Amino acid sequence: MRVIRRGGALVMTWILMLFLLPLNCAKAPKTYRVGILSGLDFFLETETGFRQKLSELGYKEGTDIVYELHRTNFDPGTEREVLQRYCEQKVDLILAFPTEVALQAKQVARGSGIPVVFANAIIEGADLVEDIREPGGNVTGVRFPGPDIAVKRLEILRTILPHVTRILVPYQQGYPTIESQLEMLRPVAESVGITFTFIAANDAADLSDQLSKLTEGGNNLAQAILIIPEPLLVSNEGFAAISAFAAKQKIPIGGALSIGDERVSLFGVAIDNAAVGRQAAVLADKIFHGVPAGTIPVVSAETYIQVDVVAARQFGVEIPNGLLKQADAILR
Amino acid sequence: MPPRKTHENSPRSLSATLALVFVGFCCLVLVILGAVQLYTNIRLVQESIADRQQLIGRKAAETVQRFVDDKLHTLRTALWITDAQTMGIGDQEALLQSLSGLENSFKRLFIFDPNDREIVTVSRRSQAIEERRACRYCPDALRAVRSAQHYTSSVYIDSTTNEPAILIGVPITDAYGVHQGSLIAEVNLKFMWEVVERIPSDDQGVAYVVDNTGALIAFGDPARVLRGDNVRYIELVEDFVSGRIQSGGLRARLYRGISGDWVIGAGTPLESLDWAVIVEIPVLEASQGIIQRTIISIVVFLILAGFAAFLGVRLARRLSEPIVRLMDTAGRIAGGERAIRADITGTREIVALGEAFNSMTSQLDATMSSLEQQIEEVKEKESALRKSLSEKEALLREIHHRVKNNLQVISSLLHMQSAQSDDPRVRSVLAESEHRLRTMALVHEALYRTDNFAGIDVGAHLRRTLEELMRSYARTDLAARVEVEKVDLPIDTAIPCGLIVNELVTNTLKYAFPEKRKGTITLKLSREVDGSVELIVQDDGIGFPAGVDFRTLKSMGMTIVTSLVDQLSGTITMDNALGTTFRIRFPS
Repeated sequence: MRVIRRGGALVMTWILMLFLLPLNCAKAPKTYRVGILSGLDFFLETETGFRQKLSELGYKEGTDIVYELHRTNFDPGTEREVLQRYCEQKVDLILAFPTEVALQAKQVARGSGIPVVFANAIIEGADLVEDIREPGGNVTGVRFPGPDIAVKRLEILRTILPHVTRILVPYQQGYPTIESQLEMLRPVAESVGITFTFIAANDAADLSDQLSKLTEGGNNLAQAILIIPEPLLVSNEGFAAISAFAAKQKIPIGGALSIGDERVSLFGVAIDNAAVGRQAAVLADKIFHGVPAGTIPVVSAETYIQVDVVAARQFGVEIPNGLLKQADAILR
Repeated sequence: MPPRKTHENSPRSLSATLALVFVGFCCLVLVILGAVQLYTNIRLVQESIADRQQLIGRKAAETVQRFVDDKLHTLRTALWITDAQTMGIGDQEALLQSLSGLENSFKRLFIFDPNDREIVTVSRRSQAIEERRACRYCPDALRAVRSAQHYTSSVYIDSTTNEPAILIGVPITDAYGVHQGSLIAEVNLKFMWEVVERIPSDDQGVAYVVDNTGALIAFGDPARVLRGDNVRYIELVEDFVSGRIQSGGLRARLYRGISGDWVIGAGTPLESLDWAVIVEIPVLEASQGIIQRTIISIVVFLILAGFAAFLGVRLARRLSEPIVRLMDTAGRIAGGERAIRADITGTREIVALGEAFNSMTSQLDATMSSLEQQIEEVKEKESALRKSLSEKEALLREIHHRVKNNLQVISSLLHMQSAQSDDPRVRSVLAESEHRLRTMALVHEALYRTDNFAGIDVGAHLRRTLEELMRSYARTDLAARVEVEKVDLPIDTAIPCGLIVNELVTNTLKYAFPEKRKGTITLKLSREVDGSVELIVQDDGIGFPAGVDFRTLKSMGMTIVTSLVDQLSGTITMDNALGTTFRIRFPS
């Protein structure tokens, strides 16, 4: 009987082990902390898309993942402070957008081991990645095809206004990706006989001043305004300044869609920020699964074309049928 | 302290053995049945998984095929409704722009004239930048669409975005079917990724598309596509690339999948494209049915095994109880309780065994009683015999005592007679007779002093005889050397033996050492290898006169010696070399 009792005890122990083993092996679920820094409210949809996609990938907010969002709206000083704080807090990942914030994030996080995923960042002319296939360091992200968009905007502007030869190009003074875009634009413009007037402004007020000076003496050198991808003209104040100038001078704007009530921009070539956020989320998921950020190839954002027929009508401009058909969205 | 009895040394009890056998047998049957059932289940589930995977693979292939077919269909439809071959360049450009707006995946669109000259190009990206990028597969496409309904290029990588792309093309023909040009579109396969991601695999399952080199062209993880991963190392992909495709596609099997985990995957090659769609389900998820069935089987097995154990113990107890009772009874009987009988209830065989046991016990009891009685009787007889023997021994001892005393009395009478005679010859004769009687008395003395009446230690007796003679003849100048072994001889041998020594030693004392000559008388007695006894009487005296044969000598002593030797059926020899040595040998 002792043998039977001993055998029974052995069987019970095995059964217990069978049930308890998975409990012992199960790891406590990790809660990932993500620091998000939005350098420009214009791209805020990126953060929404990012959260949405991670939620779809199974990250439950509050349990599996927590987010800390900071919006600086083009304030480099604060941006650095926020990024440093993220590093001190040892967050699991930093999502930074657009370009200048991404560059700062790369610098601040260097050596901390914290991976950085950038979004809405122009990599051409910026020291952000080593190679699109293998970005290096601890950085990867979603590329904003800046130079391509800049040239595409010029091409569409010429499609709408084929006789324009003088174009005003305002931009943020010292913005890191401007030069790469201008490099692409200049030869295209020269080939079709277009003359650019560049206005490098520090802020909206500076832009207003420079535009005022431009028209002093009744001279108006520009027939159209081209907005290239940069931060000043996608801020409310910046666009208000150029919008007021365009309305006053009856010069159509092209490149970025109108911000505010004034419908002064004929078209916009941009990217879907929410879609960019979703693309960034897929990269973050890979990083959470242990893949080093620097080995994950940079993905490119898709561009889309929007055409504003109301603005076109205001300026007495007819949008070609082909462009209307090519456009992803038409604002009527 | 007695050694501790260990469990290993003690034999297992009958009930434990029976229970173990029963439970073991039940478990064996359950295991065999369970294994057969489990194997059957596993086979069924495996086949079901394989079929399911094939189905998912086919659907996925249809989805991917449809992605490309839709693009070709869009191009054909555009040509069908617009009559592109008769359009002007502006309208053709508008057509391409419309197509570009309609289908985001069209990166670039081209219209070529019948001479394969590029007429119009429209791009979703900037034209100026795209112009720098050569249309790598355009010549192939133009050649192909002249003779075929459509063209699909191999997959290539866009150097700007690192994204995979293909070129598709359809011919532009007039109403008579004459070739009027080509409509070519560059398709960004990135848009296929979402399609692949949505392929209804399982929650944990993945689907991906590979081209004919094994390069990954669509996968839920775009990073791997962008990195240009080649997954030919995956067994299924290798089969596809090597052309080892079965009729049903790439059959489902177990392998390490694209994520490095064990998966069950199946693949389906596309109809018109040299691609294959692979769908993979983690093996754990795919095997959930098997695992559930196995767990249920194990639980059922454990319950049944527990039940079998319970039944086994009960049955074993029931079967072994009468045997245990029988064993207890046998133990008690062995302990001396012969009157008790086994109280046996149970199966027929057990009852029969119990009855046989009781019968055997009764017979054993009767036999034992009889034996005990016989033993008692034997003991009583033995006791009587002992008593009788003791009485006879006492009587015999008394007889020997009295014989010895009588012989001593006669010896004393002869001594007294000798003392009254003046004739030395008479005195000598009387003294010799006295010595002979004395020797015989010594034998009887030895016999009544011993417990063994069968024989006496002749060695000791002869030693004593020699000492008595030496003392009697007062020959202090002579030395006696006695080398006798312990030899027990019966009285009818011991007395002649003693008389022989008496005669020979007396002869030696009287004649061998005249004129107070010094010397040694040696007496030896030993048992020979053949069992006979050898007696040696030796002296280093003057020896027997030369030419005298002791057998013919008219001497009383020597006559007695030879007649006693004959009585003993022995032999006697004499050596006269150094003194005199008599060697007598007789059977014991």
